[in-house]
Amino acid sequence: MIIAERKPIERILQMIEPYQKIAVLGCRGCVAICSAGGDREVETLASALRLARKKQGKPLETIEETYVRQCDPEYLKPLAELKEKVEAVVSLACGVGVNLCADLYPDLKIYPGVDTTFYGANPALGEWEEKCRGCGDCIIDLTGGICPIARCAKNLLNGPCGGSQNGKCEINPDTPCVWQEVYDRLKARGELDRLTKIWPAKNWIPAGYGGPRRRVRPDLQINNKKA
Amino acid sequence: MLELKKDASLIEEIRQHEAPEYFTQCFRCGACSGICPVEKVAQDFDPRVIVHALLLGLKEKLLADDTIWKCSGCGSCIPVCPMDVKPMEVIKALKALVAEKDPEFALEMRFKAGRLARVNPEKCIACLTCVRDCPFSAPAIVPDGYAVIDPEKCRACGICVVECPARAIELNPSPEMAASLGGQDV
Repeated sequence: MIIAERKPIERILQMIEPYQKIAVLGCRGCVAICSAGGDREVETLASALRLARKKQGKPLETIEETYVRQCDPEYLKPLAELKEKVEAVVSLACGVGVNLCADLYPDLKIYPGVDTTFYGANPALGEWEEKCRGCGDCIIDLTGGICPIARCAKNLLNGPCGGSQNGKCEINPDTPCVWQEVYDRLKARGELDRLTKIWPAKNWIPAGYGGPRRRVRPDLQINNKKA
Repeated sequence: MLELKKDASLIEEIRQHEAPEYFTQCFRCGACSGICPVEKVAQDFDPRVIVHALLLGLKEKLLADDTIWKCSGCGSCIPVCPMDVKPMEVIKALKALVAEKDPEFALEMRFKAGRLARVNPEKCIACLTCVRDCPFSAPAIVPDGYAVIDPEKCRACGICVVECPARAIELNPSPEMAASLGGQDV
């Protein structure tokens, strides 16, 4: 899922400095699951903002709402009414949600309450680990299911760098060297010969270097469906 | 004048639901009431009165109303009883009898009394927080994709309620919690 982290409260206070009444808008999708922007965090942030503003002597009024998702226009319909009640909205959705809100309601002053960080797994309560970078051209069939792009600090595709020591990464001694992991995994699977094959140079266009990405399934588009 | 229906069969029925051996020996001394923490905060809850009502056979009063569900099961009444009545276990047997006759009603009563947490499937996002947090392994994600709390395991501790990021878990305040929150009688 998409992982996000709440922005520092000082930063959010800066954004909403001119306003007296705002909405804090949560999302029950990924950001709720990763404890960054669901109902609970909406409550917490709204009360923290009110408290901070009260302390500044500039009381803030908040409306707290959480939508099922903020990445689908249908779920954002109630925002048309909500935006009339407030001067600005702090959205705790990932960047996708904030962008879509801004696209749908260009006159809406919407601000991000979280930093969207990575695609990750949730191996245990309160822990999230990056596993994928959405490069659009998956090669983990060659690496035992382990992604060297997302899990190597240098995104190396041709084995470990000189900084790999005792199976750890030189960037952070707590981080395992992904190429050590790839090697160990393939060895255990009896597939080390995969590493002897020369891979073609990776095409980085699907990773977004060809501009914003868009996916279309014509067979699913409503106009192409026969009545 | 209030007329109370008596039903002597209740004592026998309770015996079949693991009622403690000597509960008929209660002589209403009130030691259990004196120590019961719920009796201090819930006007209609008194273990002595419940045991007495059972011995009188006031079946309808005991089984149809929500009083017995207010017992927290703390067991304070057990060691203080000079006759080994074990009021907590008497109440537990009464609850078991209700649950056998009408399981849905029993769950509703537990929920109402703040002794059971319940997930609102409409709001649940199946994030696993409650599943991982619960010290008693009560919640589980069902195949339909939302969490359900096993009433057998739930102890209404409230951990899942505060931890749920979607605020999808409902738990009424127990009598003692309500009293500590508002100081009012419940």
